[in-house]
Amino acid sequence: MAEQRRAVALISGGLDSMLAAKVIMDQGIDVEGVNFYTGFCVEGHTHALRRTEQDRQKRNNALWVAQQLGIKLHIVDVIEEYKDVVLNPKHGYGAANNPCLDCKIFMVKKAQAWAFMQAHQFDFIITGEVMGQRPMSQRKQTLPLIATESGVEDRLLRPLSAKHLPATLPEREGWVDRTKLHAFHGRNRKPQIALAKQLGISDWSQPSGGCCFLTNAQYSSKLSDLWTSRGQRNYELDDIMLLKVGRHIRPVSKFKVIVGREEGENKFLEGYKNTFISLLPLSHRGPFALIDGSADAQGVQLAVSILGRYSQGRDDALFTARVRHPDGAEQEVSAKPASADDVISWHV
Amino acid sequence: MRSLPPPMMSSAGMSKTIKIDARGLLCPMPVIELQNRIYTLNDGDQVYLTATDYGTQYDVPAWVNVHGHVLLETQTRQTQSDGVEFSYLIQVKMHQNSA
Repeated sequence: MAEQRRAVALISGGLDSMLAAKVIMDQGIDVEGVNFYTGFCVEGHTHALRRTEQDRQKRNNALWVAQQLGIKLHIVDVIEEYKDVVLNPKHGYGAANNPCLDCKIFMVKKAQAWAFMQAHQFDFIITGEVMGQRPMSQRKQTLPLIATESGVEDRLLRPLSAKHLPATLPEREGWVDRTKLHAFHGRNRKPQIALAKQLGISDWSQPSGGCCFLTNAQYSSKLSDLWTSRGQRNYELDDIMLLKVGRHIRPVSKFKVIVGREEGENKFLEGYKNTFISLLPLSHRGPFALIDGSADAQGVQLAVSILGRYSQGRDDALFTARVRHPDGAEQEVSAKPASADDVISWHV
Repeated sequence: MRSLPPPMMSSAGMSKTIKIDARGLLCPMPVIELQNRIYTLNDGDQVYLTATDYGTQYDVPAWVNVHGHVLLETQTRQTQSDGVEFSYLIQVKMHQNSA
């Protein structure tokens, strides 16, 4: 009897990795999923935060995919290790602060390291990469580079584009039938959608990917602003979480004001009131806000005027907020609400 | 706060119940905490997880399900600070080839 072969699948929660895993499972391979949490993942936090998105299922899509496929999913916290990928990408950035090629190399390498740590040996790694789908990490030239630089070499199989690539070890050894793999190419999603139908998959999320905030131009701009204002390129998890939430307004280089956009975000920001100076509207209804950075009395008044702009008192002469310092000290501060033009010009 | 169930005997001997306080953590961190603790436990052990992220309502049962463990009980309660707290009692089931 042939030895049962085992594979680790990188599961992002999107359709491609789901299909890749399913194609290999259907060939009798025992597949388990792994998902790396970098802190920049779109799924999870932000969808759970915003009340306006309450109609959306607050689920981790990678876990949902694992449930649909009936495979185990291991979620690995790589927040600290991932910093080096974001801050020092050997292959540079894409259109935003997105180090997609280094990211993929990192994840494949981590999948291999994770697999080796398990008591039960895995034979190969599979990903949902499609040649030509992504301008940076999924080009014809870069797919082999990922295999080489990750050290996984020919144990890295891309079932959706395998026929465009040299046969990997699982194919050469006959663990996987190459004729049943695919030759998808480019950004057209029709082949994936057709395959999903063929495999009985009728529901999936984010059909064209986009699971990382670093590819979002607005988010990336806020990250660049963070680095510039601090004079150093670094971050902590709280920094990158806060960049996902609220309006970020920087009237001066020393601080910015983070203003909640709705109730869910206000609640989330309130969780940081022991870390930052926080502003709660008193004279009018309005959102909650934090001051991130160093603000003296004049700066606090400027922050209050910005918050006033987003309150129901935006057209009144004066707006008052309760200002709370991280040590618990509180004061009431009033200011004339800032003009719309000023606030727009300060938007990060 | 719910009281923990008494220790039980399992095939591996006396089982234990451990508590994980994941309040304040956002998904997927509560699931990662749960997962990493369960990796260290034995068949029959139980985990009592408390969390405040609404996402755990889907993620915890989903993770428990795909790994073949058993979700014995879930509870939701309002907190004094106008928030919501979720609790989950999970029994660890070790299967062949399982982590």
